[in-house]
Amino acid sequence: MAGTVHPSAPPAGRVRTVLRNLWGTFRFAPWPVKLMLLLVFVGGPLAVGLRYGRNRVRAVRLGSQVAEWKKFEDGVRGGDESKMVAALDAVLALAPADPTALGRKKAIETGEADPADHAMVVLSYRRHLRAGRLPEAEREAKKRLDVEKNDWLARCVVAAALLQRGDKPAAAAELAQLPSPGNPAARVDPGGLLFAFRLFRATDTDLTPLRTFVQGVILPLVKAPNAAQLPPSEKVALLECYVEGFEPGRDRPQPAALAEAWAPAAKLADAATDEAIEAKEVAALARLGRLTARFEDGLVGLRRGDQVTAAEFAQLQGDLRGRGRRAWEAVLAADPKSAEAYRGLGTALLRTLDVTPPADRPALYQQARDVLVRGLEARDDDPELAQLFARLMAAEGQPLKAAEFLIGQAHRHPDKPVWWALAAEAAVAANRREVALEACAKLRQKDPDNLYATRTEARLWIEAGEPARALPVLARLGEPALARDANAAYSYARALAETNATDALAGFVKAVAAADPPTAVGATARGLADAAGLPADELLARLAALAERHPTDPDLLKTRAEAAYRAAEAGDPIWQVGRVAAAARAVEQALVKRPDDPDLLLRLGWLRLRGQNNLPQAVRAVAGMGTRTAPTAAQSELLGAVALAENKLPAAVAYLEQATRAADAPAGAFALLARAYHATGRPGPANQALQSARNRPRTSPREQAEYLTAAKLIVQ
Amino acid sequence: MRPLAAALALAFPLALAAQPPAAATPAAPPAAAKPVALTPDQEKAVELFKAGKIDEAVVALESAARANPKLPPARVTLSSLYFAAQNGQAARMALEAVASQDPKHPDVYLLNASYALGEGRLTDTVLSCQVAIQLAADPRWDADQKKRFTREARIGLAAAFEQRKDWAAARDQVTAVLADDSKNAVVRQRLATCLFFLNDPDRAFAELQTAYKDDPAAELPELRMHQLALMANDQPKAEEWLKKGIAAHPQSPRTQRAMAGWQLDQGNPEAAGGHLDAAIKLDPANRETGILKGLMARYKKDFAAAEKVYEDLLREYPADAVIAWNLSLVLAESGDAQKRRRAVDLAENEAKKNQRAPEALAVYAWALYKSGRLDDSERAIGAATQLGALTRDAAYIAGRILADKNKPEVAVTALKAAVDGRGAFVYKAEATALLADQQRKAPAAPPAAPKK
Repeated sequence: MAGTVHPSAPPAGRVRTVLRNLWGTFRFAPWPVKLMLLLVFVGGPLAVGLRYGRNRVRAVRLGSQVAEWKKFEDGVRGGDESKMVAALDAVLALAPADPTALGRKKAIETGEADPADHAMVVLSYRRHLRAGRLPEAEREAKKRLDVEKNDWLARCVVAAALLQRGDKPAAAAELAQLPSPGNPAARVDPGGLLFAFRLFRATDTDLTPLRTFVQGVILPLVKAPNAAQLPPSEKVALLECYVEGFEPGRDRPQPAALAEAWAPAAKLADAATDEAIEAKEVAALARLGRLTARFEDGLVGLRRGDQVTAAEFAQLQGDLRGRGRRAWEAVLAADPKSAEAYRGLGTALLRTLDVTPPADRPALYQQARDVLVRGLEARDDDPELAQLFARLMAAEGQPLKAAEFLIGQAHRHPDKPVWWALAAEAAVAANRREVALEACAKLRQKDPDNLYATRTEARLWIEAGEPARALPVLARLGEPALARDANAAYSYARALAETNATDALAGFVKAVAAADPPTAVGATARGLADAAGLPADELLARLAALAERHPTDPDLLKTRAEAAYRAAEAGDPIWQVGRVAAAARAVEQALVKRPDDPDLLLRLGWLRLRGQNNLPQAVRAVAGMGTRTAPTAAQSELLGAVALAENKLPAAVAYLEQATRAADAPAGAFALLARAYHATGRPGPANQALQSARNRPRTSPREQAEYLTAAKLIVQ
Repeated sequence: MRPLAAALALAFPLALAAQPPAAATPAAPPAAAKPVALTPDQEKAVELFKAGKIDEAVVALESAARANPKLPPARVTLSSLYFAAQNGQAARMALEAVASQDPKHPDVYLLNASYALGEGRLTDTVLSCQVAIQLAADPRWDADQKKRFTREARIGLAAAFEQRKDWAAARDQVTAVLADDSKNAVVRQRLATCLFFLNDPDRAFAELQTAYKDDPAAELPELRMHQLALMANDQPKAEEWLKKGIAAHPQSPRTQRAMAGWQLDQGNPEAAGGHLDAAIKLDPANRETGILKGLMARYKKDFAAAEKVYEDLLREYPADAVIAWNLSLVLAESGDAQKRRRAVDLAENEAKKNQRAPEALAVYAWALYKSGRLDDSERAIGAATQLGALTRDAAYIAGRILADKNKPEVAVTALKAAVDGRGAFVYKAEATALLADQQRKAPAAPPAAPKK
């Protein structure tokens, strides 16, 4: 047979022989067999090859897509929108129908993510937040909260949007729904935590839970060795959280963990500063500069609690300020027109005034002046910088020059009325009302409806005892606006009352009461109470009119209580029974809203002691007064009066001596002290105290009554 | 010397002018300086000023003025500190400095007015106060500041008009002050004084009654009327008002003391005794009662008793010059050289503290005289006469010293002033005898020129 291979033949020859045999077999085989053989030996490998090739192409394409999605994620992390879009485009080029890529690209273009794409929802609200588009961020955050109610940042975004719309109660309610920061679903990072701190402050929410979290969770991160590996901006974020951990109270030491973390935090700050300077990260440097003041507050807290010695304090404070200066100088090196950096440097220098001996202060002033002048040369359009310069001049004892400087700036920048506002502020600080009035008038020339100028000018005229001149200034705003603006409403109500514009006042009080929201009720009440010459009964009637619509407004209740008290002691004879009872009721109602208000507690004490002659109730009213903190002169006077009434003479003398030591010691305290000395058989000191009472203004009928009682007892 | 701290009550020298004219009772203590509640910076400034650190004192005052813009400018306060320290030139320079810095500050003119008033320049006082009133109208000042400036200026104007005896103008000023400060008994008493000298004693008395109702520590109306009658040289009316006072306030030690003082002034220690006893019974611990008790003992030449009284009083009131003077006079009479030495020390100390008071130098002169230091005593009494009119006892002391220096003509003049004067006079008998003696020794006066 032709196809047989001889065993002794060479290999090539053997293969040729085998092939020839096979061909012979195939050639003479029947066609079905031929077909089958062709399928087996040719079609099979071809199919396998084709399949392999197709899979290979698919795998390569998928790999490219994965790489592009990775680029997308990088873009997300870095907040680089163009990178994200480019990556999505690349994905779509590879897979034009990729629904995720299509959806995300649309979300980026429209700013609205598909609620089902959870990751994109998170990305979307963060993008809006970063870009300062709070309403859009809120919309997206709400989508996130629908699926994850514990998302910390989303909740914060919603609260921030509410705050921006002026709805503080709703914002506070939103923040109340925040999960515990330790909840893993909250995914709290330093940025989110700092955001929450800002919101809590803006809504007057208790910061304790956040501080506790910082003290328990963030401090270990600050101390951890791998914190050194973080990029500068993340180091700064950790440090910003660290300073938030300090307790605000002055009466107790700072938590030990905070004190222990000081050294690592300082080290981290040093490293962040060095790295940011090297990397020219201006934003991080500016944040470090801003942090100096907060760090210093914390250090003062540690010193107050004796957690650092005086020598350590001085050393650490010096280090801190040096670092702050370094940061700001680096910012300036990168951006010589950075007004904030000049401000930061100037502020840092001014902060050292308190620890600078008087002899060294001129040099310090000079240094600060140099920095700020340099800043003003670079950025003479920055009002805050100019304001700081004015502050410097005021600190140097030249407040009027500060105002003059700002007036000069105002003339140099006629297109920026804000300079006139600053000049007015500086003039008020320099106690130069006439200069401030002129600046306000100039400001209103440029901007006739400027609210600041209107409010300030009106207030200045009222303070100058010329309320009639305040009225036309305020009237420009129109009654509806006045009735909603607390500051303006105070002045308007006071000016109307002081000019005896009875009908106009009645109308205005009505408008304030009806305003929605009722933002000026308390201020209007205070304006009426402060008005010179408004009879007590008329004042009470006006306040009652306000209270009809707003019976629980705490400011109004307090003002009404004080007015009722004054009416009770103003009669002749003083302390008429009906008025005293009404005043006591008013004070008790106000205390429901403000149970610890020291002014109200004082009023109640005097009403019980003198108005109602009810010693046991007076004793109850003063119980606890001056125990948590040292009593004020007014509190000591009342405590002394009660002790005197109880015949506890040593205690009375002690309280009253304390009351009379104050620079603003009331005449009544001297009169009571005279009585206490008299009761203890010390005529000389009694006469002296009486003489002191005689030489002081008696600021209330009650004080005059105290004086008359003492004088009759001692002199006659 | 006025305490430096008191000078800081810069509502100040003119405010002191708000006090009524000095009482006629010679034993009355000097008017108490107005107590001042100083801010810590002001206290520091006073200490620095005392230590001669003027620049640092100015820094502290500037700090005080910054903390409380209602305080006067730092250099106005500095000027008043200089003035209180009797450095008039520096006071003026400081005032001129602030006048050039802030010529529209009413405090500048108020302080200028107070200096002028103290020096008897009434026209300058009036002009400065009028300028202060004009400047107070500037909107730079708030309502309280305006009120203070205007009040101070009106009080200054009233003081100047009173000295000019322009009672109608003075009345208008104090009436304006009372419009804003109706309970101010001191100012109301001044209104009463104006009304009294405008021949309206009934209204004057009514105002005094109002003042007393507002301030029971104020002078009793009848006693004030007594003083006004004395100022008008109307002795019978003065006595009548005292009697009315006793009738209206029989249980008041003040009326009894006043009557005792009056009787002593009239040279009736016996008549004074009953009233003094009543005053002692009613108010034994009172300082003025004690002073009168000692004075009575001096009248009776019971120096041991007087010494005990004044020693006790001085322990209780160590800063009271009148007590110290009296004690010094009593010790000087002692036969004990050590006590006489103490009299000199005490009187010298008081003379240093009260350099503008002729009484202080007269007492010092007497202590020196009694210690045998005649020349020193002559120098001291000479200085006393330069400062102003002497009391009767002080005039006697001058006469006694001049007599011993063998200057009978001058001695006679002094002794005549003592004998013919009014007020308490412990040495009346000695003065009368010495006058007769010196008149004998003095050469006869030249005959008067014949009338054409």
